[in-house]
Amino acid sequence: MTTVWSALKWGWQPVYWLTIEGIPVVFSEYATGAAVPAGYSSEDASLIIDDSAAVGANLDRFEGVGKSLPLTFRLQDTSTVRSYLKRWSNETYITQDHSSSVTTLTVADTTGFSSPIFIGNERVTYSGSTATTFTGCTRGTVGYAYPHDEGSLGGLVTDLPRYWRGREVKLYATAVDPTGHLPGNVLIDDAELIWRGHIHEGPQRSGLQFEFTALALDRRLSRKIGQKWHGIVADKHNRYRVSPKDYIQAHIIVYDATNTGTFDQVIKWFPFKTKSDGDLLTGSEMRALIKSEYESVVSTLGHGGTLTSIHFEGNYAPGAPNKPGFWRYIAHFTFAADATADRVYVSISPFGPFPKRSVTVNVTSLSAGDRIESVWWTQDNPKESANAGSGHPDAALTMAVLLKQGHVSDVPSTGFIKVGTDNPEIYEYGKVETVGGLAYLSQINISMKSTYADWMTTKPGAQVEIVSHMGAAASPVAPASAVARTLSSSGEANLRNATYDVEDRGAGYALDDDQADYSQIVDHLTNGTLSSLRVVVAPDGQTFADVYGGLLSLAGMAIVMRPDESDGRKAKLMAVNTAYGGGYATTISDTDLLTMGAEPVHVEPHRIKPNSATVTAEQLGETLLSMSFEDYPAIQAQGREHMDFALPVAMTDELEVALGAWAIGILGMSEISQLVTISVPPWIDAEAGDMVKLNVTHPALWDWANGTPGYVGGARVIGRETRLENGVTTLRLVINGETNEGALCPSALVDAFAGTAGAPTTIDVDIKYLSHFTDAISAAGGNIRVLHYRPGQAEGVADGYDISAAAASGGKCRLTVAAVNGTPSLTVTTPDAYDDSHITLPESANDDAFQALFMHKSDGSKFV
Amino acid sequence: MAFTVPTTMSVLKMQQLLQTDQGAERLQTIIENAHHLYCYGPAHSVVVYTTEAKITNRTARYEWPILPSADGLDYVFRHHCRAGTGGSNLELTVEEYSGGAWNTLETTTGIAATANTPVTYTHTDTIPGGSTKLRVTWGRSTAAHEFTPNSLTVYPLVASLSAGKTSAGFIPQDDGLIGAAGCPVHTEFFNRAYRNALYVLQDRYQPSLSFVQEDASANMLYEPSGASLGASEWVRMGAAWLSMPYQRDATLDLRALASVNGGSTSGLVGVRQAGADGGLATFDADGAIGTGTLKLVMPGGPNSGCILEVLGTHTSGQETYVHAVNGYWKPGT
Repeated sequence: MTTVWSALKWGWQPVYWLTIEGIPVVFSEYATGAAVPAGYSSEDASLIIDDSAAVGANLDRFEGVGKSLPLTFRLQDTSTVRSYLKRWSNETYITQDHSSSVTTLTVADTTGFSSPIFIGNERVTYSGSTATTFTGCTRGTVGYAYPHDEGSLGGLVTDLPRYWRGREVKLYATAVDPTGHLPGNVLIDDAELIWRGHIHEGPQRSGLQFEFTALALDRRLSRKIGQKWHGIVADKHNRYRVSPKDYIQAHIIVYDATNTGTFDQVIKWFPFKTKSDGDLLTGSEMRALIKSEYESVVSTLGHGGTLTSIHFEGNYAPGAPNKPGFWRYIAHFTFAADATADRVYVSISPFGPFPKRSVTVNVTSLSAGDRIESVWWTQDNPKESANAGSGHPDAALTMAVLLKQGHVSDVPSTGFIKVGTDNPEIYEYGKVETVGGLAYLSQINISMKSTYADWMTTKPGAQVEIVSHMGAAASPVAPASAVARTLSSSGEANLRNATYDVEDRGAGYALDDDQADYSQIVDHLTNGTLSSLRVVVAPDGQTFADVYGGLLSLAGMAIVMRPDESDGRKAKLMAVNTAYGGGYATTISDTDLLTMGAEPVHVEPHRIKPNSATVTAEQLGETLLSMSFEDYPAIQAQGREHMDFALPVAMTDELEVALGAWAIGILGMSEISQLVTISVPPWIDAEAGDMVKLNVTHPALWDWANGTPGYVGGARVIGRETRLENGVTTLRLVINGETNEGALCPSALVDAFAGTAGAPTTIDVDIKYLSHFTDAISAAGGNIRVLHYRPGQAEGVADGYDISAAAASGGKCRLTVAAVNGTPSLTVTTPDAYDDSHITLPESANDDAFQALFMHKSDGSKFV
Repeated sequence: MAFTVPTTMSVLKMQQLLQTDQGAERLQTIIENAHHLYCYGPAHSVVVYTTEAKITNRTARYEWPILPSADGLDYVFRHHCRAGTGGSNLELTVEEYSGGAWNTLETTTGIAATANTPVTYTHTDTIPGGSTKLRVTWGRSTAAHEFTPNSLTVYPLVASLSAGKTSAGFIPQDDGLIGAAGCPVHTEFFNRAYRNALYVLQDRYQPSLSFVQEDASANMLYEPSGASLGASEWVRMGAAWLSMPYQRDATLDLRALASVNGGSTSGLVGVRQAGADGGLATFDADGAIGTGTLKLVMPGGPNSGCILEVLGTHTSGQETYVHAVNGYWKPGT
């Protein structure tokens, strides 16, 4: 693929220019005179790139993230630069919270301002103002819009940038001809965004210039994230919603021995009439109100001569092991003395929806305080029937937390609770409500580290941390989605990404669609073992690598900044493979090695192969499950070489299954690969995560398969650095060692064909196979052979085609058939069916040099 | 060419997966393991009859709902019956219900029996993909001789694979390519092995609950009625431990066959998980196959499982006849 570096082959040179978030100036190495990108007002030829600077990324295969190089640059002391690097003359502050999209900003005082204004790292232009508002605002010009909270330091509004740290820096390269002439007159047209990151240090006066140091985009993932609230346990009582309209109606009849009703009254009372609709009360609070209001109504109606009160008798049913029990209550009506009473009838209609219940009790007389047991059984919640067949929702555990830090209204709707400080208990809650100043957490789930016995010992006053989480034990999320949510979530729903920006502020990195290719990341991570795992993520002051490093490492994947081919090769975060295998992005041969001043090939020491590994499922720093793999004979012979992996996996069943597969990968790794660096020109289109074909004779390399110097075979790029001064590019590669790790041959489903089923002239397959077939044809220098087969039918090496060309056509890869071998008959259905015709590579006897790089039977390779 | 079906499943050792020159041999083992899975498993029905012992002077008939493979497979039927007094032959008829009619799979009057001895009888027959019920009738040639039907296990046994995709989606793999010298080891080999194993497990319901009484109401052991409990009150007719290692919160497909001697038929049969606050799956006792699901709450891990209860109730003055309640499960549900 043609890149910005391709022109360097012909003596062109790159010119670098960069932008700083919120500053509408293009800072370039020299004045190009070209039109600046939309939104920018001018070009300032003040940029100085350090001669030693380089851009690129290195993958840490054991952390699952890229570690791209930082960039240090300086700006000359021009009038434009000076105009931004001075103290602001006007300042005010926002007086209310603002979302990222509102177009009116409310501040303390707009006096003295003119558009634009700066809030935090955001630049805002506006079209009008009142004494306390900026109206007609355009948010996030030449940068990103952010939500702003009143009371935050970022809520200061100034007429010049107050903050520099954290602003995004984008470094572009544009090729200019040997005379220094820029082709075209629009700067962005032929430019490539080769690096992006965020200002970490600076601006700082350095000689007569200003120096900035910026960390690459993927280094932002080393920031610790997590959102939590501290408090203490107030109580563990269940609470239930009440309404002032809730009422109870009782019909009470006292009969004498002649079956005459001596007292016959219907009493209706509203026990929660002093409460507001939706108030939450404990069961005991509700029973107390039911009783007191009943007594009040009885007194008001003048029935005190017969009726006195209600008494609730509790009955505790213990739960199964590690399960909570529950309380049931039955209401007793108490009476005044009545010597003539012979029979008492009580009919009660509690809280409307429950059916009326009645009972008749024979008595010989009533003494003061005698209780008549009604048939009104309730759960702890008097509004819930205690019918044993209906389940016991009030058995769910609850906790009221008095926050010592943070706002009750900000507590996430679901999350984890850490109780205690040493060896804390961990629970999950599924609902939060506010009770006065308390955060009332309910639907508490004991399924993680702690037990019901732990729960029972938790006392009021215990220290509590509430930690927001992604997913829940009952509904964990796919790792791919979790990664995307962590990368994108800003705290304002759908701000950075329409699908994945859904988590609380502080729980993610708020990276924009322009900074991460979310569809590629999710698609890439929905593969292999990761596709069947589910995770619950609750970062508790952890970095991205802390949370996902183990998972990505075991799956042989990583998140890294690299060019997005689908978006003009913009540098973005993308997901890549770190393990061996796959198609080749390009071929590197002897003529591509740079020998300027140093050997172009270096072999680096590789990590010693582990013979012991422990994989732990963790949440909030606590281990839920730990599994170890020990190769004891190897440990005895070699000494223990141990590796640890921590995963945010809450569902341990799936993890146990996945670990079996990973164990092979862990214990069988490293000794089979070599780590080398090679120097190549910048136009070699190989980025971190790519597979390349290496075809070099340099004696520093050793072909273990054949026992000869040099190497021909696949290599996984795990690092690329390009020096900005001269374009010299260093690739870090993992190549085969004692054994070959083979890339499987592709097998392409036939989508369509021209001609007849027995004699096609062209065959269409998915476009993703285009580069493969063009490379194969190129390597062969002529026709290539492919085999035809249909899954489920007779298969063999006799039937196939000679292919003379491969080209993109109608969104497909179209293969031109030069000859038919054997008697293949194409079968294609609409829509595609799995047992339609397939095209694959030929057997070893008929393959070409490129096809031979893919795995064939008995070629010494193994699949990984 | 051949679609090779090994008689046993060969589990690859870790060392084999790490070998150099792995070639296609290991992969072929994986592919053939999927073939084995298709032809040999898992069991479809395991029924232990809830029935009177030492039956004489009549036949005993049992009928229960089934969910067989969509592929219309051959199944092995392995019956166990205990002969009581006398040495006369046991007589057996096995039928399946499809196409709106009972179709005989096996009928014999010649199962030799020795007095007071358990007898095992095995036959192989095809159950069509659309079959909904099985019916088994036991008797003895001398009516006065005792017999006690014990159990029946039904499991697939496919003799050989044929070319082409099956109704269930399984696609066999010919070894002509993978067996050739220097054959390409391609991605579709892997995908098909994985896919085939998945399609077999998605097609084959596995027995997870079985409560089968004699079909004739007069001979049933348990029937909810006013003799023992009030109308609409549930009575537990049976309970069993369902062991599902590593499964958490599986959902069972339930089938029930029940009838009444009069009155309403609605919701008279139930299945629930003991000790859970989850739902109660109820079925009508209208003589037709009742269908339902029950989501189980299980802890996961190697000892995962739960207790299932079969419940029955009746309407005032009537009796409910629970002929059969069967639970089936397939992975992923």
